[in-house]
Amino acid sequence: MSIHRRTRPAASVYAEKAIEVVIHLCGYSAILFIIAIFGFIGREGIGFLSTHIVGMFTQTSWNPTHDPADFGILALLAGTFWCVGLSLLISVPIGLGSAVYLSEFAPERTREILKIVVELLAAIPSVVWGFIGVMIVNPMLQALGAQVGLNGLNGAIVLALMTLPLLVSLGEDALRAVPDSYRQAATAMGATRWEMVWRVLMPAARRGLLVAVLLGVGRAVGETMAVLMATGNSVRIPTSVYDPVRTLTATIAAELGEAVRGGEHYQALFGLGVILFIITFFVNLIAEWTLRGNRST
Amino acid sequence: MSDAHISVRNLRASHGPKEVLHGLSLSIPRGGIYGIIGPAGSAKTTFLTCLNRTLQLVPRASSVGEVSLNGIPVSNFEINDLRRRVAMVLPLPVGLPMSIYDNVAFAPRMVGMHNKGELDALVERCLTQAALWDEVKDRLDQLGTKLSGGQQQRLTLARALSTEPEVLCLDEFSIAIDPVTTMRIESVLVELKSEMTIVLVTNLLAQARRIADRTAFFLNGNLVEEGPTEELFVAPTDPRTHDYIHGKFG
Ligand SMILES: Nc1ncnc2c1ncn2[C@@H]1O[C@H](COP(=O)(O)OP(=O)(O)O)[C@@H](O)[C@H]1O
Ligand SMILES: [Mg+2]
Repeated sequence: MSIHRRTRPAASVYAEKAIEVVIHLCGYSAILFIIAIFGFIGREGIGFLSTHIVGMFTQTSWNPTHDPADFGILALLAGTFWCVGLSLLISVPIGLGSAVYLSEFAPERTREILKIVVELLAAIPSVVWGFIGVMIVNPMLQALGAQVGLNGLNGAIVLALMTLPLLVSLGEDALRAVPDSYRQAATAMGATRWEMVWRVLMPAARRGLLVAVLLGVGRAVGETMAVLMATGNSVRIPTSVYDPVRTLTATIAAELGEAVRGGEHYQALFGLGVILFIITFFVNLIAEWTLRGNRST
Repeated sequence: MSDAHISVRNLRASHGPKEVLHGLSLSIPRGGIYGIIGPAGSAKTTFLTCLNRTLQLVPRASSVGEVSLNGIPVSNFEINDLRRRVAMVLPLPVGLPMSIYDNVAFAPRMVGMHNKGELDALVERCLTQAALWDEVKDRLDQLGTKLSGGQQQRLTLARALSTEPEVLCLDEFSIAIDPVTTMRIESVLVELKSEMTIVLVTNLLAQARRIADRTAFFLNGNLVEEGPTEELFVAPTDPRTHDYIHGKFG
């Protein structure tokens, strides 16, 4: 019988079908997980949110175990955005600066080595960063005059270090995606290297750079362990960089263990989870939209 | 030639270990269009990049020999100043990702021209010289990258003119654009040649014949011959030139 006339054994045909189904399931599982997670957090948290939402967004004091309890999250939100905002002030200039250096100035060898180092940095676990906050940044800030070394600035520094690898590698990708013809055109007109970077490459890559920053924000908002260890965990609206603060994530992590399962406090923490979920969801959504826009131009 | 604008003596250039330009000597007179023809790989582009020292941006490339502008070695010029004097239009049009206006105002701003009136006038003049003004004057704030290929090539030309260069080099500028735009740019070049020296590398023999005052024939990194365009085309002295212009190779 000629090879062309042979048909596959039935088992192999079914196996093929089965593999196809499994692969489809893997693909959809991401969506399933997202829905399941939101469902789980939402089931515990949405009921609470619907009855307490006004109080949560108008009060600053968070005293879930007092009688009567306070569930104001303004201070927690402020703590989160304070740390994230401060960390961006540190990580964006340094991260994008490194990205520019890696993509435009570094010799080939240096670039390869630095990229490996940056990736190693990304692999350091959160708790180790928290440790660095407590053991290294803490005394440094005290030496600089902070009364408490565990504070918003400490959290921001740790968050900045944690988001740097993401900013550097995504930023570098964005810059390297700019066509070489732009570089040549700018240089041929007598632009110095720095003028070329600042006036041509950065604008050309601005969407990619923005996405890098947004994903960094998403990462920083959701970061828990390190900020729990580094920020000092005091519920307040910060007025100085040396004020200890408390973030949404740290609150959940610190209190969930003590909250009575199913109780009001427990549900309130899930409510925080829902809010956190919504914040990071929107940050990522904006990043995704920005990326889309990039493709269409 | 008594009044050489650019003179090149014994220029050698290499990409890595491979020498691609083998001791070339040439004088380009002031004003007029100087055509350079030759098959692909004959080092025409490499030659141009030696004129404004963009060769040194190419990894592992190097050159030795003398290139001078107005009798002064190009290595004596401040590099960015040299590149503003010797402007370059590359084969593929490059609209920078900024507005049409900003594309043209880019180089002048870098040297500190910020007066709105002055910039406006310069942008209008360069776009007019590049035969693009009428098509874009109502949408100067539109992105340069949104123009058609032919328009972008004229934008590239306008940008090259914005530094008020004394030498304008064009490297196969018509390779990616339509014949109509090609003809328009050719007539622009003919108008500009009284104001500056134009070095036109072209893969179109007919283009060199139409507009170049003198033409040089490059082959494998050597200058085979050069002379007044009509003489070179009608009565070449070297049989290789004869073969090339009659389509026997390349
Ligand atoms: N960046 C480069 N790296 C290595 N070789 C190159 C490079 N650019 C050009 N060359 C080589 O140099 C020679 C001349 O190229 P080029 O100057 O581009 O010729 P032309 O413009 O006449 O086609 C060719 O053999 C080409 O392969
Ligand atoms: Mg070429």
